[in-house]
Amino acid sequence: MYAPDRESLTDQNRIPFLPSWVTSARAEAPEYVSFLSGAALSHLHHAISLDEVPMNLVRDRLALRAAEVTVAFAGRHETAAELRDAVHFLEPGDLPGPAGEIYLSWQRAVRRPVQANALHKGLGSVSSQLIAQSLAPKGRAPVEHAVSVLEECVSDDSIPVVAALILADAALARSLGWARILPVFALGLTTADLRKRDQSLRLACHQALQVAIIEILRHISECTRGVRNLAAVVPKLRAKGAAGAVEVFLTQDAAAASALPLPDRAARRLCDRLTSLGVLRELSGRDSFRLYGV
Amino acid sequence: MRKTPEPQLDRELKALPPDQRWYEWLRRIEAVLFASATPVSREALARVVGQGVSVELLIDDLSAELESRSFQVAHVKDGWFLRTRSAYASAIRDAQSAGHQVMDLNAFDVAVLAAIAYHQPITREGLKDIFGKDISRDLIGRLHDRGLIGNGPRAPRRGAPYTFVTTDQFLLAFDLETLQDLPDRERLEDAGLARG
Repeated sequence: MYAPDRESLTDQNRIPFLPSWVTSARAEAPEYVSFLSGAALSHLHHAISLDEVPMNLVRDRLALRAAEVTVAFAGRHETAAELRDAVHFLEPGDLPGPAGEIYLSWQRAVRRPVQANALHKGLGSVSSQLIAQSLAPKGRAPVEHAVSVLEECVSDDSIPVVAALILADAALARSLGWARILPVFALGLTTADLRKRDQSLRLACHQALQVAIIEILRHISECTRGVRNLAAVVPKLRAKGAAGAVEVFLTQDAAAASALPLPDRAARRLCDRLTSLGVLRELSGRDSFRLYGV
Repeated sequence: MRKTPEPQLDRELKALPPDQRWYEWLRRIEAVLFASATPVSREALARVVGQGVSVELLIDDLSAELESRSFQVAHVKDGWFLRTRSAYASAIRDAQSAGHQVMDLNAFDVAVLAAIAYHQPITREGLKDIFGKDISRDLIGRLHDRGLIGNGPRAPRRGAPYTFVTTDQFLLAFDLETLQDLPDRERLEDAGLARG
């Protein structure tokens, strides 16, 4: 049994896959569900500590995914492409609009360290008390702690859903000893799940972890492969400053040519070259205002 | 960068007995809200009361005190402000001379504003598609002047036109906490108040 991705990652340091008894299991019994989520979490924990995994890029991509999901939670219809546009063409002093705002919250959340003061700036309407409390696991099991933070937040009408999910992710990251947030709960929970309480919310969160981590591991191996391919062509590039420009794509989900540290024409040519080498993708499908990413 | 207020504001009020201290903090919150034309954030309010004192509890007490008055403490996304009760809306309107209304928007202005609220970020071109005619720069300017809309991200197409988005002032003016409090589009359609 070989997963299709496996072939392309056959070199020495490939990201190990989740065993199929985790990916294919659909459990209902609480003990088994939490067992599976624990197995998935442990696997994820190992994967993100590998040196070759470009975590900044992974987090940036997950922020976009989390934004895509939570924008829909807010009853909006923006696609990932529209979210990218809303943020990449924002100029200083402009307002991001409701969907752009959600994406920016996620970007801020994954870029800042999991610390009370860093989080507080991004979560304006959440009291610093609640943030401090979320970051103090007090010896509870990581998922238990994150679920109780989530439950407290979603029970409070004044806290937006995005902030609630970010705080739950922060609580989880803190109790697992991660330096930065990895959006997990947004990727696995549904709006119906967010109305659950107590045992059923806990169960939904464990199931969400399993679903989300399968997806996250896929992003991790895609990003790792993409970055490896891109890094491999850097020595072939003779344009001045090319390495610095490529660096942007090694850490960001997407960027416009104009955002690269190169003169406009050189930046556009570099993007075209990398695209034709098959190590960069044009993401917008447009002829102008293009966005590129690995 | 800290501003140095002079004379230094005594936040803790250690000299007062606890109940008088609380009363003084309550008055400060009230004064700050009264003096401000825009919502005041929790952080700003926390700066005029003792370290670690719950602004929420003070606001709760203040709301209780104002129960019999014509105005109340209203909560919006980023903080609180004082607002007259809606029961007195007609009295206030009648007292204001005609043509001196705060918003002074005509029905079409409001329709365009609603279209922006639901479809933001949207360009003038996008509004033209909705209304079947050009939306004048005057109209957009009026909404801008009243602080109801702002510039959003540039649209990624020829000429990179600006998009319009609504502001926090818009939420305030229409008594919404967030955009999710806008009337549900589907329900409006079912009630025959809007077309899809």
